[in-house]
Amino acid sequence: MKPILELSNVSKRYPGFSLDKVSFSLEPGYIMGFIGPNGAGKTTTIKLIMNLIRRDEGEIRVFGLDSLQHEQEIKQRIGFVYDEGHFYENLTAAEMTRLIAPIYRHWDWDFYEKYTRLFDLPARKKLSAFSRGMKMKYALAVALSHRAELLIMDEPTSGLDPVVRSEFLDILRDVIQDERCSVLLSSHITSDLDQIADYVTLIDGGRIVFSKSKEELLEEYVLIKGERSLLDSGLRDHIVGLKESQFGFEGLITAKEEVQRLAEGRAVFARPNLEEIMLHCIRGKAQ
Amino acid sequence: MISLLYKELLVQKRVLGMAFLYIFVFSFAMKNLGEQLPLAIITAVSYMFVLYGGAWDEKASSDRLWNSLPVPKWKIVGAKYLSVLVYVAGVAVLTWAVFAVLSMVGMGGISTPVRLEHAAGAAIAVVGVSSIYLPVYFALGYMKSRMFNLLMMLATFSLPWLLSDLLVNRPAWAAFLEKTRPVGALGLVAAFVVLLAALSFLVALKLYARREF
Repeated sequence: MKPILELSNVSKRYPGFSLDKVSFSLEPGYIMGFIGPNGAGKTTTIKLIMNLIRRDEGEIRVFGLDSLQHEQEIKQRIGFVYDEGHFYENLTAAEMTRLIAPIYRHWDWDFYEKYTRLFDLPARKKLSAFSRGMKMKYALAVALSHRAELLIMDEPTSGLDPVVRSEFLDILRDVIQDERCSVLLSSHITSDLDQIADYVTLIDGGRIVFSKSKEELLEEYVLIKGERSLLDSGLRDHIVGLKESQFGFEGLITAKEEVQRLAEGRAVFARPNLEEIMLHCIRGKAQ
Repeated sequence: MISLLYKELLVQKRVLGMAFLYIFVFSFAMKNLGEQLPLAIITAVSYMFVLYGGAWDEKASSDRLWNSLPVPKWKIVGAKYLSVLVYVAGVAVLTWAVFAVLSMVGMGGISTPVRLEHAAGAAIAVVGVSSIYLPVYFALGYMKSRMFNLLMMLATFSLPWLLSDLLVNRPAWAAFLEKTRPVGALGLVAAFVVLLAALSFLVALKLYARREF
């Protein structure tokens, strides 16, 4: 199957920060979590996909089309939700929608009505009076109402309280199941992606650390905890990322069988979550 | 393009009351301009709308929005240029309405009616000044172009007087313009401004295409 989104060796250089040969791809119908610490290059990558900034090198293909040559055609089929509000806050939701709707060839007012009702959005209320959660839901309603095939979301849950965040993710999961669109969702809150992501791409310091399916990641990595003395029995070589304290250590490993043999029953193994994988991988890179 | 023009009007509808107030205050404050009063008011208030338009866009981070939507850059830039004419037309109607009310109630001693020439003169002045300002706006954004704004604001206020001084009090220019009939002074200046606006649009588009958001 042809990827719906494909980045090949994409680079962008700024003074003090570079996005370095970023490559990953997303298959149609899947949700990709794009994770990394603040300043890792998530927003820069998304801006490159949306042509908001120019790439220095590399190629970006969306729906199999070059993102520069077919920019307008691609944007007709993309929905976007950014971390900050980018709507005219002195307008009401209805007014703002009247500006956006005619721009899309496949805008569906029935869809829009359905989502605004579902998300409980007041049409006649000024956007400045919307809470952050409501603004995100409004952006999602707009993004879905033109039958987008790919949703690009840049930190949509950052700044939302846990209750609203969970509600937003529930909505997102339901909507995506119904509409069958693909999603690239960047977030530094990995617990959000534990719930909904099919694929996970980790970026750190402008470089891709890994881009894999969530199942693959959870099978590949194992969390190990034990006494520090264990590290001297050849275990250290198998550890991706390590956190040591005076009482013991916690690490992320890949070769479980080999490590189990070396640990001789003196270590505890556990299934890591995305946050633990992310933290250890980044820590391992730094070490 | 229609959406972008509609946006210009929609975001500015909240400052409509302020426009009425400006026209009302200017009607008294600049009364000594006599025949040129409507021209000065329409020019000044229209240019304020041009600036307010930029401010609203900046406040909404609208560059990120419009450039994420399937809207080509030439339409974003073109709509801004077209909106200048829409503002002039709108402010001319508002000025006409304020003047009509003032003269009806006998306030302020308004005797000059708003004529089509005033709107045409203001359109030439505002398009001229905007043609200088907008490439800077599209290259730097509203915040960074504020200093330039200030200079343009002064130019907008002085341009009608400078033009009228040039046309009325300089015999050499008067003689030249006499020769240019039947095109006339207004036609000549209008042709120059149209050319300036076209050139300005191309420069603004080129500079905007280089911007990153």
